[in-house]
Amino acid sequence: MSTATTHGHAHDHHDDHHGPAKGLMRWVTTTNHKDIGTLYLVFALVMLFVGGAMALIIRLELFQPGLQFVNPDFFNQMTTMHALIMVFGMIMPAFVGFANWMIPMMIGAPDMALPRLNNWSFWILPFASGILVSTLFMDGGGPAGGWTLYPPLVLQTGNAFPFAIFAVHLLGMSSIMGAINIIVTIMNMRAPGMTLLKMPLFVWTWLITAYLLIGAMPVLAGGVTMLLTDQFFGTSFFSAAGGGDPVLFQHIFWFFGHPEVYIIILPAFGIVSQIIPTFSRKPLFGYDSMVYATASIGFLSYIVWAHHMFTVGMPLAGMMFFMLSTMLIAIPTGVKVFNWLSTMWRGSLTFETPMLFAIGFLFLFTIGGFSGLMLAITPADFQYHDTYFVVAHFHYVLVPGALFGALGGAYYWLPKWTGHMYDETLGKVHFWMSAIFVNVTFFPQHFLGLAGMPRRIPDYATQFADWNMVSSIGAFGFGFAQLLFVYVVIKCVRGGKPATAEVWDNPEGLEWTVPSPAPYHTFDEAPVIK
Amino acid sequence: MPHPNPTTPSPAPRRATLASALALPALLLAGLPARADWSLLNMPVGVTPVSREVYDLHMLILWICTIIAVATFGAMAYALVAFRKSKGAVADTNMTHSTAAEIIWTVIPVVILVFMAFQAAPALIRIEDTRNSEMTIKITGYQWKWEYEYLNEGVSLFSSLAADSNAARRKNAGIDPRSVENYLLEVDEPLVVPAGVKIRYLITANDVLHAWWVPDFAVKRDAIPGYVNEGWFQVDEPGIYRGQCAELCGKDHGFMPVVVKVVPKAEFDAWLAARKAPAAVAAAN
Amino acid sequence: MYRFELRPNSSLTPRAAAFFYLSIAAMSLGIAGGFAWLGFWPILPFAGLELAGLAAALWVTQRRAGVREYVQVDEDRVTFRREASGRCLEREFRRPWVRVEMRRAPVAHWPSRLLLGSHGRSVEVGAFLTEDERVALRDRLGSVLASEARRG
Repeated sequence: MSTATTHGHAHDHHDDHHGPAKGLMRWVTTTNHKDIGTLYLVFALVMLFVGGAMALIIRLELFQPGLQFVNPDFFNQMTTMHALIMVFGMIMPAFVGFANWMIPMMIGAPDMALPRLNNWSFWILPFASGILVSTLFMDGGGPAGGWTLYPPLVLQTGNAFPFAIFAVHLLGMSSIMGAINIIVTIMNMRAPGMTLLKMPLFVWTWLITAYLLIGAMPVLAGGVTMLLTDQFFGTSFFSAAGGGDPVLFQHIFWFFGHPEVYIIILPAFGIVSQIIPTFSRKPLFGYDSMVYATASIGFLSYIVWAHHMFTVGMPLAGMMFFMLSTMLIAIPTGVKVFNWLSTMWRGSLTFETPMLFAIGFLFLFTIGGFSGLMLAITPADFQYHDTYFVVAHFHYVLVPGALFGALGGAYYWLPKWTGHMYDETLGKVHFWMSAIFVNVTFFPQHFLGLAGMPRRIPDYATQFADWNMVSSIGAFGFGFAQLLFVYVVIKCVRGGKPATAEVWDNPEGLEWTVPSPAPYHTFDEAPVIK
Repeated sequence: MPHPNPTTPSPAPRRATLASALALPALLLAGLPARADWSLLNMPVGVTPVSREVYDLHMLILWICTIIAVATFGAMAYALVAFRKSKGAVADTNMTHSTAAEIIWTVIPVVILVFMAFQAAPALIRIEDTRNSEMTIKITGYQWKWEYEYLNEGVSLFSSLAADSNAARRKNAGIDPRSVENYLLEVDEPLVVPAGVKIRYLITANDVLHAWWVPDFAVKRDAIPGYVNEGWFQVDEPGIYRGQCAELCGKDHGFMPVVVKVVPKAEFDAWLAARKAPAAVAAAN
Repeated sequence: MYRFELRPNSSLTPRAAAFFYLSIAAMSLGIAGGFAWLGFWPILPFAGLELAGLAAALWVTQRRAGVREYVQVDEDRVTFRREASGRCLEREFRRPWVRVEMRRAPVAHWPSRLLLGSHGRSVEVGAFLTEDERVALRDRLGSVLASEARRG
């Protein structure tokens, strides 16, 4: 017979604990890091197509001069929503999904530090995105002043304005909750022996990303709140008529916005740093300098924001400072690129799909880096600013940069997640289609910008017609190529060649050693002296 | 005479269909000698001292980036070819770090960046130096037109999209934009300025942000309600120069072009006098 | 006679947690305070909320790190004891009937559960362990119970 004694206010932990709910409720109530990682990734994939559809509406209208399909106001709503959805609804959730799935495995933790918070931070997302998308159907349409939400234009938004701001708040809240969870997990849940400088680079990049999120997100939240109070409560933070300054919103926005750029790209750096060593069969070259370079980029991202706004009329000293600080970013970024290159040097390379995406990232992100360096040169920026050159630049760092990082990561870990190998042939076809069409889409935009086409215009002078047509063809090709990815993923989830624990040829990292035994340190056993 | 009107459609890019797009790099190289294509591929040299300086800076940094790109991408391509497992390459797993290499690829970029900064800084100082101007024009952005005021002359004018462009840009207007001369780049009344004169402009906005941009002048400055920005330009060659609003300003942001007509000084004086006359008559009444 | 002590892994000592928190708070409050000084005070409450959230997260994890579970195997009984922030749960089972059962999760990717019990009454042991550790604990517990039983 057994006896049970309960002391104090002991809570009886019993069987109904830790077990997943059934069916759909499992996904609503789940606190398991892998389930939540899956939710994030699936959500991001859905939003990729929502935001992508908007991009295709834009490219459809720009296919030839004249207005054929949409009105200018709806066009502006599309450019605004495309950016907001892709940044807050797609790429950030995708990387949070990777963090959820991989970080606990990589650092040897049983789960995230705060599983319930994890559930909330995900489930805010669909609501927030739903509110954001629903603004398109409100009286006066959705926000059309650009994702940068510059006043006074953004204050001309119709009924949608407070809803859009509320949605941005919720999306920010979700990111912050995710960041807190990730940062606490990394700090507190590392397996014994996993010191900071032994963490995989993906974990490092996320640690720094989480720092950036925690520093920058309140600035966005405060900024959009001030827009709201300016509109409805009679304050005039940004209204010149009331003694405010619309330019200061830009400073606030970009003080958030530039760290945000690195919030988006750093996890992709991390993923690429995991993939390249595996398929080069060599450890990552210059691990320490990679960590320091990532940290330097994180720090620099806080002191370069005004390079987004050289044309607002800053003091000369200000422009000089922001030009120099921006140029400095090229140094740690260069260090990373050269370290990746050196990792491949004298390696033994194979070209599975994840590696192809990593190599595509390496080449094309670097092109985005070069145009970024050009944009840093203030006098030249007076020409580049707000043209398609800028559009080409940031799409090169975001699409073949961040998105290729995410796609490469998906192929890399898909066998780990599903237990099956994906279809390698289709994966390669997907890569080549993506890589070709992304260049067809965005490379001509450099020419358009240099030749004088401003961004965010629904119609253009006829000399821009040819490259716009090329760009639109590329965009549709890229869009359809991503449908192939969905097919590959579904096929892989449903079956396929069983994956081994290691999946790849002798990869590094704890995530590949599951389920082989790891040393156990978290419990002691000792004979009791009687 | 420079080629101030960029709307001349050149025949070559008509071929820019999918096939040529797939061979973009080849097209780029092939395009090098074809001078006619340059205006659609690269930044205009422009017609002001500043625009030439900006163009030179642009080309300098472009070439620096190209050289670094050739070196970096060349090394990457070499690695991809030479270190293939299928060719029997064996990984050198001891090659994990090199302090010397890290120092080299930190120091060389620093040197290049310092060089670039020394090139760019003086140009920036000159661009920002609005002293010694001979006349001042105040530019005000509206949704969706520009107002130009000749300060101390009592002359001002509004400049908005020309009627034929405005008709053709309506959704499903049924007018082929290619049949409209200077589609979206023509106004009812251009800004008229004298050649060879340093002109200072003050710029502000009446409602939302706008930005006044003429690529041939390398001038782009935001128009901000409640604030006055300034800049300058000096055009030596008479001609018509076209640009657009460059800061999203609402639904017709794409439809508020900037057209500057640069005329010889004497012609300008005559024009100004003619503009003043009716104003003076109106004032007398 | 065996005694197992189980504790959750915590790589952050209270001191390190405090240092870590202060470094983040200094950064976040520095930024928000700077903006407040320029007149943009609405950033400050958001930074405050966020730091309160981070503090709560650290507090919860630090408190959870204090959880201890003991399994003591004596000649005729097996005692389980869980101590968590002043609360205490104790279960005692008759040694001969004790079963150690590893229950796999009904859905993929969920952690398994290690149950110690007899006669339909059971208690979960080491919910905070990683999968590998739980497997190792099951093996150890199983062999201790078996060997002691032989000896007894």
